[in-house]
Amino acid sequence: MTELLSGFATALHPINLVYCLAGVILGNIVGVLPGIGAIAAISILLPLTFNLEPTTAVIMLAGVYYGAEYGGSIASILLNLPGTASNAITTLDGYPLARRGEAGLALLTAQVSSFAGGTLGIVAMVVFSPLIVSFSLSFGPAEYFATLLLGLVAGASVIGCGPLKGIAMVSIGMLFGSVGLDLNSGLPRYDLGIPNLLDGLSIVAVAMGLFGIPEVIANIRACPSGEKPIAVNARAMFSAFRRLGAIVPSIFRGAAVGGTLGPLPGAGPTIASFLAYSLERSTTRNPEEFGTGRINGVAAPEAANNAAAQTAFIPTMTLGIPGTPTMAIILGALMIHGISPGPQLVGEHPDLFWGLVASFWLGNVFLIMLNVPLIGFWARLVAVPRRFFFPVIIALVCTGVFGVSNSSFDIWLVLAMGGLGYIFRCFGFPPAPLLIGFVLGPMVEEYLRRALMISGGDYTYLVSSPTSITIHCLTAALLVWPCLRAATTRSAQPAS
Amino acid sequence: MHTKRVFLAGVVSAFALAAFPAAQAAEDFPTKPIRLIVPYSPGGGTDVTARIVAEAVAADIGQPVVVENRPGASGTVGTLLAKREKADGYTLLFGIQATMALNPSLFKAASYAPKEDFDGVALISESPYVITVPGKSEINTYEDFAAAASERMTMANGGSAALLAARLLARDADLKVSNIPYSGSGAAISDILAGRVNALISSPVSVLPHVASGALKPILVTSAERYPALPDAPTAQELGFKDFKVVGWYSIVAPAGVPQTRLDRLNAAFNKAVADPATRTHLSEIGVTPSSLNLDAKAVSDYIGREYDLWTAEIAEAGLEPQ
Repeated sequence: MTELLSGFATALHPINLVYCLAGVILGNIVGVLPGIGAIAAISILLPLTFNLEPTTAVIMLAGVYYGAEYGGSIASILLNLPGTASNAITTLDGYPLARRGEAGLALLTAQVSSFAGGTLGIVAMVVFSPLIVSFSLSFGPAEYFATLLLGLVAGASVIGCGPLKGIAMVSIGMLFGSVGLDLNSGLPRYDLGIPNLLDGLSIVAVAMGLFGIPEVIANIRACPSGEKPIAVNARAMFSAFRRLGAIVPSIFRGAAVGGTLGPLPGAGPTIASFLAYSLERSTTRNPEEFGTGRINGVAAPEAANNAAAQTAFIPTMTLGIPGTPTMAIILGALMIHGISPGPQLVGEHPDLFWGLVASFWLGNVFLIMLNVPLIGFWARLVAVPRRFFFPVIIALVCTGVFGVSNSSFDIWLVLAMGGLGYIFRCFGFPPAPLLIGFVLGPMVEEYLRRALMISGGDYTYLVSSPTSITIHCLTAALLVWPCLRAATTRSAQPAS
Repeated sequence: MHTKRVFLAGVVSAFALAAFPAAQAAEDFPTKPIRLIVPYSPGGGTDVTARIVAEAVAADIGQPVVVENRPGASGTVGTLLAKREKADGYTLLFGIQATMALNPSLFKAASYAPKEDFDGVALISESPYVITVPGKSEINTYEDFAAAASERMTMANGGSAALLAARLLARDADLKVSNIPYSGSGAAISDILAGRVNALISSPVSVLPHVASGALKPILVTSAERYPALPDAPTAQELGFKDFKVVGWYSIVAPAGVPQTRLDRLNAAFNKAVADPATRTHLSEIGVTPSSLNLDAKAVSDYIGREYDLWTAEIAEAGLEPQ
């Protein structure tokens, strides 16, 4: 408790407060604007944080991340265009509500659910992080290998595009991840004789290329012009306050789903919001009402994605395992500042860890305080013509990758990845599993080889502890479950 | 020319510092900002070290020292860039063990010859490695360690120079050590604290808190002298390994052919910065052990040459071909 209090002292330091505010406002903006997500914004900002204190830098970057979850719902509700992937499900009930003239209610529900979900996620982080740290000494190479393998399988199977496409994308990601110097022997792999490839592909270039650029191209092609967003003002939101009683159980259910899925490698806010929505539908007596504009259908996914956005920090900060691509970039930001994430982080940099946790909550307070009165402004931002900000986004993406490495090679890399990402998009291959494979693949290899070196080549070492056996069982269940479900739905179909 | 000769005679002696005013009279150098190319990303250990030293040097020479990060290809990109620059003393390179002594034998892409293409300017840091074992282990002395390692022992290492030290020691002492590579000290320390590996060879800074708490016991250090913060840990040389010395180091080099007066001016400025108590404290805080050798420019070139030869031989013995 004293740690959390001193964390608030750190977070309330004027400089940290200013950067936290800047981070959440920026996150909100990129969330509102379709086509640019938190990952691109964080990548662009990364070079700007080199001169900041590490705590301040991470407070700001994290603010962009969870701020985007708030802003993303605004475009979903007003324009039927999700600001970020994890707000996609919010369009299902949010947009019908807005069309019915209840945009104020839908927006207020989204904001209040986001705040409640975020707060519950932070509580989970405060409670579970120290537990995981104290448990982490029993986490050796075998256990890390098991966890990372779970992450890869989860990344391949949960995304919702069919397991085969998921596995294909994870595998391509792992191949991309193995470019560069081999840790054990120092020998280069897949370097094609290009010196720039010796250090591997830059995560920033791969992430921005795969997510940012295809989004822009797709939006240009879709030409969403002409459609006027629905007007809304703060008064409409305030008057909806008394109708919020009905969403309290949905918020708790959503936050529970999101808080549980957030820390799992490969899951993250997007999957959390999808699962929370389907759980919400299955708990009600009249599921057919979902999709026609029920506020519970807005509340549950918004609580879930914000809770997941917060609890995603648990494995990142306590074990050094990034569950999502965005977390991988936050991890990179820590390493650039000379802080190696892992079980020792909480003990060695308590001010950073607890300051960050406290700043999360302050950031959530800022967000709800800003978004309710300023809703009219955000609604106008949604309507900015795409032809103005898409070129800006591409320019920022290129500046961002150049800023990280000072090398024009990475600009070509990001453009090439953008082209590849667009091809994937056209054929319905999701980029998220690729990025998960890219980030976790080299780690899986590192821990597997280390475990085998320690054991002298004995494979039973990998399943020698209850922890690793449990995790491997989870992985197996995750592999078997979709097959079982596919089999049962297929056999059920002829009957209906 | 006369004053220049007088000055040169001065620097040959160990009292180079005292001869400085004469140098300034001889030539106005530097008259514009100096570039210091760091072939690694901003924020890393090399970059932070370079910035700390650059600030102190700038105050001394009265010109800014601009750190320029040119990361890529394990330092090769920035090093090749510096090699092509004019040898006028206005472009310097942060040269470390990996780029100056290792990479040319490992990568074809590292197409430079450290001994011919660069002049030594100053030695910045020299960090030894220390072998530690868990506090609850039965190993207390090097003799126990050698006995345990005569069968099979797993030893974690946090990088190539530590690995080299481990391998040289295993060869000289005929130990059977399985070296487990780690990319940083964090995971290695958690594995040794949990007893999953038998020993660890790492920089002293990363294990000091655990040695203080009794969780780890130091067995030996790889430098020629004992490490001040671990006064009880014997050196390999004390244990009978003649001339055994493996340290990680940072240096400043320049493209070959910089006029001697300028090299000496720069050498003195960097040596003064490294000797400055405030800089030393600052470097120690980030885990870098500042050099105490106060080498002149020529001695730095010789130092780098010796390291290059040592590593080239070791890499050849390991049977690794340049890729």
